[in-house]
Amino acid sequence: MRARLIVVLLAGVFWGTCAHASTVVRELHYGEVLFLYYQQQHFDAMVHLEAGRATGTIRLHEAEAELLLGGMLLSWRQWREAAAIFSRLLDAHDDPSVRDRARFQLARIAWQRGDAGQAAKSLAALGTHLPAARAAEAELLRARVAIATHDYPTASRVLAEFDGPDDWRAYARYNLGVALLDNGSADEGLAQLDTVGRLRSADGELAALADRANVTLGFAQLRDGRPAPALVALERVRLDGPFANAALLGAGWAHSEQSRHRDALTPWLTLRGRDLLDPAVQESLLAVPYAFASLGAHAQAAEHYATALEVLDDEIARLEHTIERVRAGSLVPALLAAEADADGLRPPAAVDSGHWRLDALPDRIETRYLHRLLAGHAFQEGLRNYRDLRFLATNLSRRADDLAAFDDMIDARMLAWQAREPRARRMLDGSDAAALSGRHRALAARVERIAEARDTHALASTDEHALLAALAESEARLVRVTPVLTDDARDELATRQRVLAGVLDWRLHADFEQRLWDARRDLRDTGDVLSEIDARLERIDALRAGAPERFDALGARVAAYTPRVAALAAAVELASVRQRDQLDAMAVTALEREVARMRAHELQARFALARIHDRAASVTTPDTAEGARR
Amino acid sequence: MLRSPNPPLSAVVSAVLLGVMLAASPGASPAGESAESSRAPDGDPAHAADAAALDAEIESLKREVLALNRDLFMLEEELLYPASTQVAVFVSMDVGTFFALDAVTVRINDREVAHHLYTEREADALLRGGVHRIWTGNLRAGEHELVAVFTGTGPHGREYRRGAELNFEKGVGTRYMELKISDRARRLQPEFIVREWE
Repeated sequence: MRARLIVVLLAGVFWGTCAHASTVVRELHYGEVLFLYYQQQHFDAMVHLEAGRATGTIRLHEAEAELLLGGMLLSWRQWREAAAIFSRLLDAHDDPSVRDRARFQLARIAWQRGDAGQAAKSLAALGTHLPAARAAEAELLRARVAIATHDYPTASRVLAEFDGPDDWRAYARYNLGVALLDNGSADEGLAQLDTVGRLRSADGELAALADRANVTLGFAQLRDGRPAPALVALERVRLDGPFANAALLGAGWAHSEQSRHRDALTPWLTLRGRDLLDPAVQESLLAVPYAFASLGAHAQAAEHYATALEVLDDEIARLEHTIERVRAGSLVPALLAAEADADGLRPPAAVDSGHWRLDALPDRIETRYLHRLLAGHAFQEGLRNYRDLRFLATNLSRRADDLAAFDDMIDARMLAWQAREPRARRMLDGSDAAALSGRHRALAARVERIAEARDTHALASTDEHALLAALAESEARLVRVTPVLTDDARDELATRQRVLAGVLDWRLHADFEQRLWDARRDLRDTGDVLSEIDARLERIDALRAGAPERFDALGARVAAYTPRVAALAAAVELASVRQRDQLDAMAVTALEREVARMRAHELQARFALARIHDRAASVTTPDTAEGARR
Repeated sequence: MLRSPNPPLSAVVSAVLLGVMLAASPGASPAGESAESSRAPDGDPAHAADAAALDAEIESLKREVLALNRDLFMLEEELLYPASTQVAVFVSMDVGTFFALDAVTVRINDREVAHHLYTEREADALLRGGVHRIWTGNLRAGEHELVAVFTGTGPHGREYRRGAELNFEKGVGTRYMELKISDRARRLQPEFIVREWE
């Protein structure tokens, strides 16, 4: 009987995180994979799943196991393998729900690999058999793909009909707005951003998105020469949110563009006390003196420009120091140090869920200027690669330790076997199993001869044999005493002798078949026991004889893995270095760009300061000349 | 009136817009992940090609390490628990309305072989359909007795401790036993079963 374990998968496996789908776990080993999977131990779950399939302990969950494996590989960013699995599923299955899940995952893979066209094709082929949560994801993806392929009417329509979480819709709408702005449909883009910007939510993430939409909207309107509506959008931004600095800067410009320079100073001077790393705060260093100059307060303007130059000088020096540190290789360790757990590294499943949270960045000199870079897809992907490689290195180091332990284990077993082997050999040599089997065969032959001859006496019991012997004895005695007996006495004794012999004979004949059946059954049972003994002895003998070869074979397998582990560890180390170099190069490029930007600010400030001084000089000179004349 | 040269508004606007107008994605949405394909932010095709090649190499390394782990996992099982003597005991839960699992103790032939205290995460994984392998060991062929003791919180929030047992015959092949906790809806009580799998 195969036990069947019926379970309810409340949150579904990978392809249906919110699906209340029920399934039947028909193999304990598959359930074990799910146990690991639900605890986010994806790597172990994949190892168990692949081992179960290789050893045949997981055979019945074919499509589910493939979907699960594909999903886990995808979350580990094994795009090619995952895509191969989902393509195979698509080819091999008629079940529409399996096919839709496979298509959805293929669309995700294509999207994540930057192939929006292929993603669109997979989405277009989707049926209606995705679980509700997945269907919402698919719609969101459809909107994003439409945005990426500049199919804005489709994106707008999909978002209008979107039946999923509000925050997903808001993000998609924001992205659509930005895309429309970028591609010349300003009014429509601004309308989308305005919708997001008007969202009011207690959810911090959504509120931040609304702020972001308002800043984008405000600056886009400023760019288009519409400062008044820009100010309305910018004033919706919360002053304690992540986009407050940009909003304050923008609000200043909105006033300034309307020649309200005094009003512009209020937000710009508010920025003065804020974090200088923020580009908006840096911009304000130049905006404030500009406003003073516009108001005719040249002395104050000059003072602020001078301060700006000092600040920018300091920042440039810090940036150059940071570039040196990044070049020395300290960036990636600083990033990883922030997330390393006690084990040194988190397993891949725990780090697959998303990008770095910028608010969780370590406050290190290497990361202070890199928020924008770190938020970028390219850097995130590289960092994930590096993190995966460190995980592989740790894993391989442990496997190397395991192999050494296996080696010791085999040696220990070999020694134990060598200690036990003489006793086993003595036991085998002293066994009389062969003699017992011979006796069994002889007995069986004898029983068959009895059956053939219907030799009823041969199956008499011990008591009956005693009776038969007693009857034969009494018959012989009767013959001996016959001369001294009367005829009547002799006849009576002879009759009693015959009756007794007849009764015994009758009983032996009557019971013969039963006794024969019993005898054959006993022989069969004994034969079974003897066969089991023979088989066991044979196994022991085979084990004994094959033990050295078996130990050698296991040892050889372990030995063969050792160089494989070493080669992989070396390749992982090499790839880690290359990946880290790439990350460092990206960071240095970004930092150098930042230095260039600050130098441009510095140049502007110097130029402005020089003009103020020139102007002051040119205003002073006629006065001085006049005085001299007097 | 003197007008000081200001940072051109267009440059400021562009700089801020560049920082803000990145594609946004919700943290909780898998579909929100970026679709950018370029691995070179500076747009250098040589860098992009190098990054793509490294990506492919890392994928290949991950595949190989996964395969190695699978092979070594199988070798370890073979070494530690040969099929002829292997016995494995699994714990599963079905629904769990009437029982919240804290711990399971397994005794075989009157000897404690496993005691596992379940974390919230593990108990949740069991409720979602996962099956926990609580013990793997070696037993010789013949008759054996398995006793499992389940502790946790039963109906009405009361402390609950129940046992279940099974005598089983260990033959030549691997033997799997399941300790199953399920709800007996009619009696509003949990049910504890030990069963053999073939």
